[in-house]
Amino acid sequence: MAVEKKVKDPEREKRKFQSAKDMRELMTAYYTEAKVAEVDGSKKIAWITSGGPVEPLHAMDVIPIYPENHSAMLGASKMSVELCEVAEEMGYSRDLCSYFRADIGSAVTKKSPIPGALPKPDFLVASNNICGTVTKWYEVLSRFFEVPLFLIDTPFIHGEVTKQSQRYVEAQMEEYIEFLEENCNQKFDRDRFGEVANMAVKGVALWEDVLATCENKPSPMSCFDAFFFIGPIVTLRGTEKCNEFYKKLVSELKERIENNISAVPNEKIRLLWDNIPIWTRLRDRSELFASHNACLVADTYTNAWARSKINTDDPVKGLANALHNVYLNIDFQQMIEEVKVLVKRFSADGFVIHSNRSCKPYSLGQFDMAKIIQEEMDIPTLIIEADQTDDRVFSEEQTKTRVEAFIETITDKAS
Amino acid sequence: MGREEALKKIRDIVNDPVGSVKKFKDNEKKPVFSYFCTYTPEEIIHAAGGIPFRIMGETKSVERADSHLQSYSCSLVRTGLDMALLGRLDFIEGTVFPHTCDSIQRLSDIWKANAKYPYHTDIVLPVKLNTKSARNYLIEELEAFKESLEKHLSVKITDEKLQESIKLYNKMRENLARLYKIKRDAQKSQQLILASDVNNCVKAAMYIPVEEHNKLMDELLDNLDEGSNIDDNNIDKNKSDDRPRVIFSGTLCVFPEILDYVEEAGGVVVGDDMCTGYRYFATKVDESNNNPIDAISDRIIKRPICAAKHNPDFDRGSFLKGLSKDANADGVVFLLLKFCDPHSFDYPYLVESLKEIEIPSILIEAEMDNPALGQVQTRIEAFVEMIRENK
Repeated sequence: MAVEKKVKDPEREKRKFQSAKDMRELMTAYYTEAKVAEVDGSKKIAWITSGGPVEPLHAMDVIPIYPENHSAMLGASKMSVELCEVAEEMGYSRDLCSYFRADIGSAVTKKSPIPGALPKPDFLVASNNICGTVTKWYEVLSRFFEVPLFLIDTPFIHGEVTKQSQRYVEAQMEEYIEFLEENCNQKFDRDRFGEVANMAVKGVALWEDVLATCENKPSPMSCFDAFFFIGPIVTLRGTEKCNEFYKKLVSELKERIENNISAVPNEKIRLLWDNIPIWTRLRDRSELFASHNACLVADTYTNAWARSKINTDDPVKGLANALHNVYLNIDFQQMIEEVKVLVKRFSADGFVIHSNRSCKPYSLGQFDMAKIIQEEMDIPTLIIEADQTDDRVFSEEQTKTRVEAFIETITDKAS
Repeated sequence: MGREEALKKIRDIVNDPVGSVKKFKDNEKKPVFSYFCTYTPEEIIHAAGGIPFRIMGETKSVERADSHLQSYSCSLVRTGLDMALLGRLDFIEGTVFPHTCDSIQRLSDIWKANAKYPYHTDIVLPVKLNTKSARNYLIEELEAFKESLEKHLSVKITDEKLQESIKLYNKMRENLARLYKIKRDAQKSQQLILASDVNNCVKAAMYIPVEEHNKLMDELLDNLDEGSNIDDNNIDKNKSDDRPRVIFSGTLCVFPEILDYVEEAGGVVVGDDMCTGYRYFATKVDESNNNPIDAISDRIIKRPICAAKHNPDFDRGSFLKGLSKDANADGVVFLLLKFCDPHSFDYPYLVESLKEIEIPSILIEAEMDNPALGQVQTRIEAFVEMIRENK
């Protein structure tokens, strides 16, 4: 076979992450192990929501599978629209979350970048701390796969956490443990869980370190890179492998800072991103902003995994409280305060808001948020109407024009 | 008063909910507490001396809410916020948000920041309804709501007051249940009451003080019976009645004319699983329970669930099949507000469940600010025709 040799652009080459390869290997190994377990039954498989309590699963040697992560993959590999259409033929409204539609479409057709699609679950774990959508989504999965579902109900936090809601979530952790014991036919090992929780806390701290490197000017990484590197902190949180990976990533980022390698070659504008990425357009978006010397240095999405830490003095209660307090489970006044902190920390010149049709709890309130951030932080804001993976609602021309106008506003303001 | 007068009064209330509740507010000098979701414990508001008032948005174009809410929010949320921003609700004391769904949850944030009424509270009810811990939490959350109202109004809500309120609300529920049963079992020749009027009776209960509703309903029910040979418990179902029998399932019915389309096409509406219908009044609070908050919690747990709740012990598919069988239904109309996620998620499963008992269905998605009623009517006519042929 003739090997075609391309001339590599050295500028581009030096910006490539060494860790990207490690990450791909890590994720491939993870999915391979799960596929093997599906066949030989060596380990139980649980499907779990992105805000769900994964640490007890690792402590029970259960393989956690994240349909949300998989749906993002379906989006990035441009398979999502076709699979959303399968769901629509089943009667699911086009207005429902595209992660869900792509997921059920993939479960039915077995189409996926992963051969044979996601391994079948033995049971399901959902937490509504990120949305009510996952409650309904997992009810559908529970009927489809005919497997039990455990829902962790985390009352939304308007203002402060109430004593009664805290007690309720804590009580559910004990119920969750019982559910796991029943479905895994083994006793829950609290010491082992404590170790996993410790490991998870370290992992979250490492992920925080990863994101914090972007405070540097110029930023060694953009949020488009962070969207890619988020995989392990979501899926493998609480494992040694996850922490090893992020240790290496932090070193690589620090080296980049020392060697003055930035994500965007001539970083002039620093931006903050809100909401789930537009997975189908990651590269386009990244290049569009870079072509204007603009780097998206931080985002509310990947930061969500750096803000809730388990208090390990009592890891079961600690996990309950961490779950309860996630970013999407707090009211928008509190969200605005967190956005303000990010604007300051990362010296953002502008705020790009993805109004995501698929995600109402993340998107409703953004119009008010944009106004408040613009006024109180004195930075321009841009709202892009799109969807996390349903590319049919994306308008390339309109987005491009609006991004250009937005960049112009920022440039004018600076001069 | 008579049947026609009672019906007219009820229609007038539903046609102008704001004007109607304002009159009661002015006459009775009581604060009005608005809410969006029927999981709101009306008895507690009533016992505190308030008038509960359900906001169901308005069937008109949105003027101001579009600068706060995306077009993919449901029209209940958008037109409801519009009412507040246009000052249509300036007479209310405040709003009670019992969580409901993702959209209402964020609406509460936006409402609080922009509508600015003296009172705003979130009763973050559990989504899960089948566990002991959820029940305990529900009770505590209702207690907290009770305390919050007591503090705001400087009143004491005693158990006695709550028990009185429970009785009044139970009476309202009994009345509506009786009306539903009469409607369901009435023969063609009896022509008792239009489906839209039945629906108006339910909605009026959400708009005016319960005492007034009970008076109107007593009047209506007494006179509805008159001369029509109805024996509630002994009806020879469907003897010489060939009308296709239809059940509605879904969110809220803001266009009562949609129900009448069925009857104009020669069908009859014999029941529903809607939040402006059966779900609202189906379950009573246990009056023999000495702890009223516990009793109210129990009703919340036991009532037919909204799609936004999670209860593995309550299967919405089986429930709808049961309703259909009991009413001897021939078809189901799914009436959903566009962009209602919880109900859209359940829809394919409910269709499958109905297929098991060979009941056909159609889906109507409506937007309050853009209902396209002409098209809806044509589709309903075709559906009624289709199930007539199946009969």
